[in-house]
Amino acid sequence: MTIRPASGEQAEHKHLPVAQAGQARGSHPPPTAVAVTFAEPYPLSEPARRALFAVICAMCPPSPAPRSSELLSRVELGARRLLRYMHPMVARALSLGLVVLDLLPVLTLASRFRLHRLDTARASQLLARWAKSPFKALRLLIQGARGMVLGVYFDQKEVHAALRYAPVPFIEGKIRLRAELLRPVRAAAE
Amino acid sequence: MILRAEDYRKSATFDADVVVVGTGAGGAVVGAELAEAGRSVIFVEEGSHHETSSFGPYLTESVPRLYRDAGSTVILGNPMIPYVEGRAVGGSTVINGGMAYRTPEDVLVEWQKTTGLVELGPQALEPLFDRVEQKVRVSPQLDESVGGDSKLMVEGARKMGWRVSVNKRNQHACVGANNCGFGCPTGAKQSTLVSYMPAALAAGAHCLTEVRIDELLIENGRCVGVKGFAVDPVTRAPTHPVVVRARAVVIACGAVQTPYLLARHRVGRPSGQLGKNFLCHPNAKVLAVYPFDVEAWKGVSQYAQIREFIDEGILMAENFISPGALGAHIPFHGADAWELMSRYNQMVLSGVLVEDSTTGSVSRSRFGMPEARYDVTAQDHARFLRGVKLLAEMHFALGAERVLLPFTTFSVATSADELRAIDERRIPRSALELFTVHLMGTARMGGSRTTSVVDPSGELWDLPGCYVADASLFPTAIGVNPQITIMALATRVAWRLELARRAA
Repeated sequence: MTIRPASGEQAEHKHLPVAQAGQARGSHPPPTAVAVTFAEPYPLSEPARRALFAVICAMCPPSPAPRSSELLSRVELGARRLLRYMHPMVARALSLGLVVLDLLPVLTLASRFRLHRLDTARASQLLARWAKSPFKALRLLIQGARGMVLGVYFDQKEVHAALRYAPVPFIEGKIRLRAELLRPVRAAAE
Repeated sequence: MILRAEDYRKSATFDADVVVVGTGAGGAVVGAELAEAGRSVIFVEEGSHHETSSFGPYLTESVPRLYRDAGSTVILGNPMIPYVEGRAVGGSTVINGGMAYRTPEDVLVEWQKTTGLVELGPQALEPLFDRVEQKVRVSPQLDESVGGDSKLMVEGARKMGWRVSVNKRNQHACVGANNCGFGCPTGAKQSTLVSYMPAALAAGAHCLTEVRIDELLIENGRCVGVKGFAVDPVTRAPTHPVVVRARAVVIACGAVQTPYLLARHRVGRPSGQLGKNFLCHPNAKVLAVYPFDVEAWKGVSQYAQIREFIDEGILMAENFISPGALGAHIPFHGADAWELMSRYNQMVLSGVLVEDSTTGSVSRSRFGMPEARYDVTAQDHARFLRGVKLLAEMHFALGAERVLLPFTTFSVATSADELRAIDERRIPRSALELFTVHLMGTARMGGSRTTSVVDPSGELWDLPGCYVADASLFPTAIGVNPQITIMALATRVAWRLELARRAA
């Protein structure tokens, strides 16, 4: 392989990654802490952001399920992060759809107020009704928003704890168990 | 050597004998075979390289990193079918369930007959299956690693008198961490990330990660390379142009992205089949809630399959998913969602997979993305209703309190009697809630340029130097999990390429 810089000034290519990224990856890399960096949350307009938060408040389960303003903010952050990684067309369509959802109580004459001005129970009820709408586009919009919001909500640690789901210690135990199982094989190989 | 987006600060040009676009079940295999045969190989992968130690159980951390478009991809049609694909070194093998089935013999006999290619018949492919299975360590699961949901499904099938087969998996000492969908955190699942790719790299191949290829380089009617952009792994924004020139170009981006790329150049056209013949093994989820703890997450997923109805094109299996992934797919929100999800430890998630009786298409949309289309046929509609009903009956026979059904017009049953309401009149096609991960068939291999996109070597009939090596090659649906078939065909493409080089 040759690496050819496009011009003379770009000579940094000669000492690039080649040396650093170098070694072929082993079959089973040793476990190490890996910091995961994510993009900034998807930039939403103020009306879209208000609508998203209204949908989050209406869709996330009420008490006795875990619920706090801090948790709801985390759900918003997670949802906007997912939006960032979606195809730009899909993210745009979904953020526009959120604004439509916010306006829908007024447009359908279900209320004088937009979704974000309704109390949580009423907003939740309307969203449940629209989820069974004869209009496919509306059903899909609710499905998409619900998938995004509840996907993030049910991924939170306190929610996992309330569900008696503890994957981290379980997986750590399995990593140790497998290492034990393979120790004689590796010792023999060495 | 593995390069990343930050390494392509200025325009970078690379040369190799072979450039392979994609590192999943197709690309990694072709590249590794050729690198081990002494060819200089460069892989180009749109996703990043994630170490085994970086895999964890959280959806919000895993999906953006490992899934194309954060899993928001969908097939248009009646009904619309969401699908997911991997986007990382290892491709979808990093996020699949690790099922390792050979192509059924009757399918291969049909392939041989319809394409006229002896090379696609059972006898010709057997040594390739043997080789692939040895490379990815295909073997049955350790008994101790099996989860409660798998055991319950096997018990249920036996109770109903149905045939069950224990899955072979591409795994080595799998102890059942049960995180297959978000990357195996123990390294037991032999995805191409930990099998073929390390072998290729050890043999001297290079992997350019975080590069999206959007163009073929074509000179004098021959494909001589690929061109694309480095993609910032954090923002997904394109950054710097990257060009790879090679004597042979292998496209292995999967059955959606491969025709999308080829269609840009109006190649693969003599037969008019590029992007046609799209197959997707749609499946429907059936979620049962039991009055006792199952703790499905504490053991390996998809230990066995119910194959009693395989002759009807219906396959059933359980499939664990995390609360985040499950929560994203339930038909409720608010208090109803919690009432259901608070029983998470008492759930068994199972599925009905139907072998396609029709085909769809993949084309380039106006919006800078592939447009996949597929309409479920009346025959498959009936098969879904039958499969879901049978599976729900089995759950009730095992004592389930209620079963969530994949129909928008009938989503919860609380007894077997209520399942009588499942018929075509009450549940139209548009009410089916389907999902898929098996995408196949859009650049089919064949013996004639009038009926297929690529020749028996995997080379495009109308673009010398350009090869396809992924599930796009399948002439028909295979009815089982496709990764072993993809790997076998990719091995074949690699061997033919190497033979052609030696002959030259």
